[in-house]
Amino acid sequence: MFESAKFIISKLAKDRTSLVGACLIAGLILIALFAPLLAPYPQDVTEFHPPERLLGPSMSHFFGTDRMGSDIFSRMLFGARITIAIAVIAIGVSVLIGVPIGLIAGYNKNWISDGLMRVSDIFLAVPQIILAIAIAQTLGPSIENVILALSATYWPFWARLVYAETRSALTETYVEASIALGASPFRVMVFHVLPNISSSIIVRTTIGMGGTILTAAALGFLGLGPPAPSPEWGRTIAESREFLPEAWWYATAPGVAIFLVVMGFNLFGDGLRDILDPRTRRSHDG
Amino acid sequence: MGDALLSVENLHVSFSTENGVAEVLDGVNLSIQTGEIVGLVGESGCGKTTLARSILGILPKNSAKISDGSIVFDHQNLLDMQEQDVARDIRGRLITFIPQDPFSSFNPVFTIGAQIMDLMKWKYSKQQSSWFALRARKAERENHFRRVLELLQTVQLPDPEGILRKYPHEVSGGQRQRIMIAMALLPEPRLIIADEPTTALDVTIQAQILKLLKRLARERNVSVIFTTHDLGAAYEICDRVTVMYAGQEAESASVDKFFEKPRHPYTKSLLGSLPSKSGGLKGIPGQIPALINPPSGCRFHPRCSLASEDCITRRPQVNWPSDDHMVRCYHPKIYD
Amino acid sequence: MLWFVPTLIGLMIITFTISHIIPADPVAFFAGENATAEQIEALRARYGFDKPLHIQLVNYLIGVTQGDLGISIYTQRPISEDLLARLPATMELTFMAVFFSTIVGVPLGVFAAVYRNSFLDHFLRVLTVSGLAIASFWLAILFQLLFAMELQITPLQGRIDGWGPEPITGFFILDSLIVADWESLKSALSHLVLPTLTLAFPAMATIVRFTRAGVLDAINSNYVLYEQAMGLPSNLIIWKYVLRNALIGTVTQIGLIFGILIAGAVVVEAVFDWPGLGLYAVEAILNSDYNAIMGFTLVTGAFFIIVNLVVDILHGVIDPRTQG
Repeated sequence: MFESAKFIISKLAKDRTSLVGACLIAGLILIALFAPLLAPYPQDVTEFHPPERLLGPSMSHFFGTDRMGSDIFSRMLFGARITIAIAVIAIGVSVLIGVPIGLIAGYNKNWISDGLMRVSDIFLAVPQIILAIAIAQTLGPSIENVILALSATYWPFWARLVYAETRSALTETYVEASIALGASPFRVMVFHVLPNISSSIIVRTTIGMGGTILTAAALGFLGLGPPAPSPEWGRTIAESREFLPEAWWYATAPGVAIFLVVMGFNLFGDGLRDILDPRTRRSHDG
Repeated sequence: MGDALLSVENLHVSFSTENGVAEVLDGVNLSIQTGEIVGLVGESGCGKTTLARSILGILPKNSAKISDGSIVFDHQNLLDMQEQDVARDIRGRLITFIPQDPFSSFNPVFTIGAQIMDLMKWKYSKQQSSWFALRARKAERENHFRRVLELLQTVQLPDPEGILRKYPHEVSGGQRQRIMIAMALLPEPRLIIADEPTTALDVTIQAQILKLLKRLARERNVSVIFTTHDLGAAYEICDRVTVMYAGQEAESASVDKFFEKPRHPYTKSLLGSLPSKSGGLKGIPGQIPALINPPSGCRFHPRCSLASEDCITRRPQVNWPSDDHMVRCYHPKIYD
Repeated sequence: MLWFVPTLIGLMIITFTISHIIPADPVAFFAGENATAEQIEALRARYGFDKPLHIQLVNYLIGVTQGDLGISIYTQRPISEDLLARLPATMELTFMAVFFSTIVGVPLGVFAAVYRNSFLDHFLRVLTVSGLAIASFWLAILFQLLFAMELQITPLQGRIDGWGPEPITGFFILDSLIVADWESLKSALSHLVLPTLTLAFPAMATIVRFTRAGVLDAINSNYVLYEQAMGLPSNLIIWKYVLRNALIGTVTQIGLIFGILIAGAVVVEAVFDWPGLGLYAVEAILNSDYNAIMGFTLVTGAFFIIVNLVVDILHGVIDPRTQG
């Protein structure tokens, strides 16, 4: 298992775009972890200084100040924490819910499986953000509710994915063999099916991070995310609107941040998919 | 060699792959007369398909390279011609193609009729279609249609009109290959390149298709280059057989001489490994070499019991022990 | 195929469930701080909140099938009327975005595949990857910043200056053409530019990617080899034989494209003040208008489901391999 990990890493290292993606992701993680140390004005996450509002970029304020006089650069760094937290937890929860459901539904062939998949299909029949808006608005703007809304609308994707893969894995002879030998359903699902579909899950998790971050940012932009004075990126962009075009830095910083982070996950996820999932490999350039 | 219709001389073709450059054709010679049916036999990977496709000029542009040699067709070296001239004047007109897999060689989302009529329109019209003279074009289309129906009947397809309306997946494998044969004959070519045309078909149908191809080629005095790994098929329909091994042609003879008096050690082993009536299955010890770092000289030498110094150092020259028999070997079998 | 009906019903159940897990009491909230208990109860009865949950659900379902989505707590008008009034604006924008992204995206995808690994191909690859990484609302703001504010070559927001053409279909472009109202046509088109571009950007990226992949697949197929071997002109091969195969595969992606567009429409309409369904949703969010949000969710969801249904049918029709 570690040999394959080493093999994967060495292949990834050769792919330049994946490397760029990995660097961006690493950057995000580092920034999120060390925000308090990296930020020149860590207190500006909650404090404000009205006399200094809407200053342009300068040596003391790399990205200028916002409408409350807070340093945008510092707030962006702390915003990274929010972004990572939302994305990781939302995906984590939806995977933790969706994968077992998919496994169970895929393994059994009864009306419960059908029912679960029908429910998943209903959720999947609608763009994620639409339902997420409904849920988030109902519950009120907060970081927990954003995570909840995202998880509640994302688990069906995993359930469907794992269901399909479990179904096809069940037709593999080694799985049939282990069932014939009397292995319990739990054993079969966890020790036989799961390892085989894990690469598919990992790839899509990475690729899904990008989309989740964008959806979360959109919710923040619409005012459904963590409320003021949260430095959440989407919310900051919304705040900046009334001060355009003069305070152009106000909107640019968080937007670029979102862009870089999502790019990072997309590039890395693409590279990962090319290596781990040759079936879905798109016509790759030589 | 006389007035050959097609003469391939000293053809060198290489493919660049992930692991290096593979010398797929190592100075191969081949010639074919008008009206001759020549079989190109050999095991998988011997280069017969590459040779066939080189003649047509449809090797993958990115990885294949023709580094040396000439392909002279009707006194013209195809390698000296511009690509668009070859596409326009040679392919689909003077030289046509019968592919190995008739299913995937049809475009799945167009009817068979649409594809055939396109072929007629672009490859059979003596004059390039002009935008004016609509009535002339309509008459021409009717001509085309009639000719297509004729040819489909010639290849013994029932209900040719119905077939034209169908999609490729609605027709059986044997019928598809018959249509392919018809399409190869449509432009009145001088040479047909048939790349393992029966490999993808049921055994019961293979013989029918082969006989049909031979009869039609004879009737119209069309030459055929017929690649196959099935020696029996070659025996059925060929006038002459050339055998290849690992990118080198080893022997070429009239079909009788080839099967009764083979001279090259590889040919003898190949024929010897055919299941015989007396029972017993004899293979050839060793393996086909990788072409990235092929054996030097005669590439068969590692598996040849007669191999000597010369075989390893230099590839044997072309030898004509008798009129219609060519062999490239330092130790060919001698008859009479 | 027919089971899009249970899917729709399931969607309705979901929206109903969501709207009833409200921790706070919306009726009390709306009634205001000074409302008496009786007034709140009266309001509750008026909106049907006093009946047991399952009866509310049944009433809701029956109402929806009759086109009644409830009353907007904020505007006091039937939600279905509000949504219907806003629908043309969103549809016009969405159609323009689909049209633009297809007209531009498909040929680009073909060129990227045919000239694989060329400068164009790499450039498009960077562009499409970026296109899928940019937040639509941010792109909208950037466009506004650049074209409307700095360069001042397009209007900042809104759908039209003035009252617009005589409402016949609700589509400003069509209506302007029908009554030959050139002023309105010009205004409508200029207002469409930025929102369409913004909305089309991620859709175009997806279309270019899928077309490229489809064309590459087709180019490497045996039938293209045969067509080349028989000397058919390469333009014919690419633009007739390859393209049709690639497009048939791409049709199934139209559902995906619409999903992107609908999801994007919400924020794009918000930024450009485009009076469509998306803006309606945003306003409903601001006003805590739960009913309106549920109505919006239902309508958008239903629309998306129907689009996918149509795409499925379409695919079955145009791909000869799925028949017989």
